[in-house]
Amino acid sequence: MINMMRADLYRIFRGIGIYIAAALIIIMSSVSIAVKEPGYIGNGNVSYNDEVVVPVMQETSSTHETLVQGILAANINLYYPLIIIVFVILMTDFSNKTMKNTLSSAVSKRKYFAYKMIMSLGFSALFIVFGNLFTYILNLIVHGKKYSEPLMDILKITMLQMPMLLGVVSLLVFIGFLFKKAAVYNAVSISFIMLFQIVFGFICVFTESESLKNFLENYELQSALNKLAYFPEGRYCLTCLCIGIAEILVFSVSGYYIFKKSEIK
Amino acid sequence: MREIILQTDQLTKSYGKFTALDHADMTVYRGDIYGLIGRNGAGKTTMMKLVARLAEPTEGSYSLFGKRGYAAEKEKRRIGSLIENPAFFGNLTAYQNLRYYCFQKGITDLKQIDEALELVRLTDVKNKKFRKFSLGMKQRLGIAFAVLDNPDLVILDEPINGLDPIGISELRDTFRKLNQERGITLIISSHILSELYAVANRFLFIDNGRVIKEITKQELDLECSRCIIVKTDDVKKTAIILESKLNITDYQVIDTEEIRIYDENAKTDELNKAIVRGGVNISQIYESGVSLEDYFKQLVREV
Repeated sequence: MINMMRADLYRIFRGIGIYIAAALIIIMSSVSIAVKEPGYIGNGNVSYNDEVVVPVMQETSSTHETLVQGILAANINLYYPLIIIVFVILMTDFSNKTMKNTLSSAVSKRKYFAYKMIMSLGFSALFIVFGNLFTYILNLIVHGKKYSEPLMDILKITMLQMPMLLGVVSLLVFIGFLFKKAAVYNAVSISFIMLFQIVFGFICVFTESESLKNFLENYELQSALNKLAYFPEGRYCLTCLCIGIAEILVFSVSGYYIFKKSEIK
Repeated sequence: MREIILQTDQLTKSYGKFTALDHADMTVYRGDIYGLIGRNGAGKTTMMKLVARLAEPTEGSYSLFGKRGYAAEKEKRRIGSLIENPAFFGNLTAYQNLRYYCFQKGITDLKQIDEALELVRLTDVKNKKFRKFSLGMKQRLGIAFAVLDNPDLVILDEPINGLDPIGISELRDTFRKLNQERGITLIISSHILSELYAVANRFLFIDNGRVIKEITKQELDLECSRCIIVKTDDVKKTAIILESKLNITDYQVIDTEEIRIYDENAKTDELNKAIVRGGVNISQIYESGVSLEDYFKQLVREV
């Protein structure tokens, strides 16, 4: 696995994909800091004043929102750089059909899948940390300590959000192994976040179960990332951690099962 | 006794109702240049994919270097392969692509990259990006990848595709060199029998997913050797004349009009006289050697 990692690092830094992902994170943070306003992708703004968030906010230790905290609360924005990261690590093999070289003479499908999942999760985690730290440091340079929480709080937010974001990365890896085509991966993963929120919205509108409605509203990715930036109570954090781990496990097992059965072309 | 490198046992691959490979048996010995011959869609690539673990068999199994199942999987590193089209990263150069696989296979001796590129005559373009390569150059890089790290077994699927005649001739020399100097066992597939005949020492004929025949070069030579072709209106009666009057048993009825006599002592004029005296009309009688293509056609027709 170390050999595969060395090979992929050699390749990844010779392509432009990884630099595009980094540039996207830098631009998003820079713009937010420059205009002193966190920007959102997805189907609308989720403010901490939102009625969904308020109950959680009331239980947090934080009593005010800083700019950096607001930007981190909008970390749903990382979804698109994460798509690129998974593309660079996994889909390049599919689009160039180089996977057959690796599988026919280097490793088994099991090792290959495990490596790609671990590499995607690891690389994504590094990018998430990089994105949050970059935001903190840039704000420090531009505005001083005025609009930011202390560094330890930034790291804490990063760790709280990490499982949910890595759960999404495992979903992207699953999509990659499911469709095996770069173009389909792009189409599905780019539209997925919107589709996901629309479906959630529909369920919330039409369901009569209040508990389901509350669960979806509280743990939908965009809401969850937002809330996690404001240090919600421990039980909420633990549920998010469990959701993230469950996603990683489910998408790893089902992704491997699909990959194992598939023929490499 | 020669070491068996690869042996398949009733290997079968089905896609729904379509059977791409039907209970195929093949045995490859160490040192062989093993030619896999068949028409397009015969099942050659499927066979290679199964052996390279790019696809899972529906039925059957195989042993690799004497090992089966999970243990065989571990022997994968002793295989180099080029299956279907050569695939590399378009944004990397030829050298960088091979360097990538050196990292992946844990090869530390980077001289092997230069040796592999030299072997397929790509040294001059080693810094050219793969996406700018011609089809022939891509094919040669695929072969360089397959022989990287001196594997014990190299599997090449239609390696001469896209090569010009000089390139094909050079490649033939390369195969011989790999086999004789480095002791590499090769499995090469092609639909051009004459090309495989020039390098291989053992052959597997395959058609419609079924193995027709596994044969050595000596046996193939014998089967394609000189014969006398008799075209007549009654092959049954001709066969009786051959056996009873001329004591010839080494013959083959090709169809309702043609019979081929392989007996070395048979002479055209004597045959002619005997058959005509026996009351059978002969439209043509001549000496011929069966061409490789005819031989293959004949095999396919027999299935």
